[in-house]
Amino acid sequence: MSPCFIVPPELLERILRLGQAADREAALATLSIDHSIRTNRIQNAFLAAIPRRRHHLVHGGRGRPHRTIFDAHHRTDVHATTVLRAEGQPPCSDEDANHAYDGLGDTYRFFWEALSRDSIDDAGLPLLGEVHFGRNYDNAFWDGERMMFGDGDGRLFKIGGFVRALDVIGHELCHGVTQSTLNLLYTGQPGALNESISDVFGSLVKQYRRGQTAADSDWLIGEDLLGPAVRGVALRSLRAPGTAFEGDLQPAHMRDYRVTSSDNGGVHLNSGIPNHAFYLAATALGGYAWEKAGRIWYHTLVVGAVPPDAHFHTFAQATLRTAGVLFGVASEEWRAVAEAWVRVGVLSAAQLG
Amino acid sequence: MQVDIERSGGFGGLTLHASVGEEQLTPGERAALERFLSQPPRPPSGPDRFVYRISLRGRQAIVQEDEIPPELRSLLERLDGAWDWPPPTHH
Ligand SMILES: [Zn+2]
Repeated sequence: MSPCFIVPPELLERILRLGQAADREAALATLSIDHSIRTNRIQNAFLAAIPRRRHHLVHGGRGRPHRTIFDAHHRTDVHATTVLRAEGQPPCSDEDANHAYDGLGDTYRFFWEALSRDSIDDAGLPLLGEVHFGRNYDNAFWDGERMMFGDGDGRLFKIGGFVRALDVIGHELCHGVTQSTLNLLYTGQPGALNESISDVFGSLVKQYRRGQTAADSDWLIGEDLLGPAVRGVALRSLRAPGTAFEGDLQPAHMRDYRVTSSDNGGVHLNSGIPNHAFYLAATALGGYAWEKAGRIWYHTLVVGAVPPDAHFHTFAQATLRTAGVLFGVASEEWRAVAEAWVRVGVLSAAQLG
Repeated sequence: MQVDIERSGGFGGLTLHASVGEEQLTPGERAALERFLSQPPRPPSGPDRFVYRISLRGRQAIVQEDEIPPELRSLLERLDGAWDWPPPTHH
């Protein structure tokens, strides 16, 4: 911790974590005032202020996941389950369970190594996964406590596809992160934002695992997941929303925002807009997407003071504030984020001043 | 008349359709359906869950996956494999 830094990091942490929204705004604004001392010292102090809460009792310590994979035995009723593999155990005879175990581990490792986040709640929350949920079940979801994996029906989705798709696991686990940070509603624009955040970090988990730069990434969600009845390469594309499969109706710009009463107000459709904004910012900045754009998005989740009913523009403004704190207002990073939101029609150039 | 069912949401966000003749409903299914048709929709039950829209004779119900009662689950299970996909292309 830099002795030169003007605000004690402990105080900053308290304000950012525990303060009312207005106080957090003020703390962020304070950090934004003195451009002359911004650079690394501010950045490091800001990052040091990201809380280090820990619950060592339940697992081996920070930096290590605590995973348990359960067998749902093809049922959907609550947790009539048995344990297939617990943390530290060697692979079991159920390959799906081993894939889920590895995917949760890779996701944990991304959040820890790239963002210093200790599991879903940043306090070492155990990661629970349930495989073989339901019969021919074409879905995976986060139920607020566990990650549930269907087997897929072999028609729309490959059998065993969900547990083998690291971006699916990253996506679902990130719903837990969003729940424990912004707690965004799951309908309309806040819902689409919720979906987009999961797609962004799902993609980053995959990129981190593969060691890919923004330029190398395919920016696809759910490739190798589609069964023979769906013609396409993936479920979603952050690079080119609306092109992932035949029938993909995701917009990439606000002028194409889709008003619908299906899918809780099109949360999996309109997520294409903030998804594309992230892609534009990340590729403009180059390098590993989690180092700049990913960090800006992540710290917006943690300290961005974004309300649960936030629309895209509220989140966009918050990413700009975060970019200003982390890298400086009008820095290359700030400008890349601003430009991205303008290009998808969420912010206007005039609003940026 | 027929009962039209739309399933949307899920991780994939694929919107599927199916329909079943009204006369094929069991009395239990019919009663459960009637309850949903006469009540306001509940808020989403959680991320990436399925959402059903069930339409009958000009009325419709939005039903979240986790509030499907056993009487309607049997109906949805009969539809397994009958979901219409890919969606009709519009040129
Ligand atoms: Zn989702």
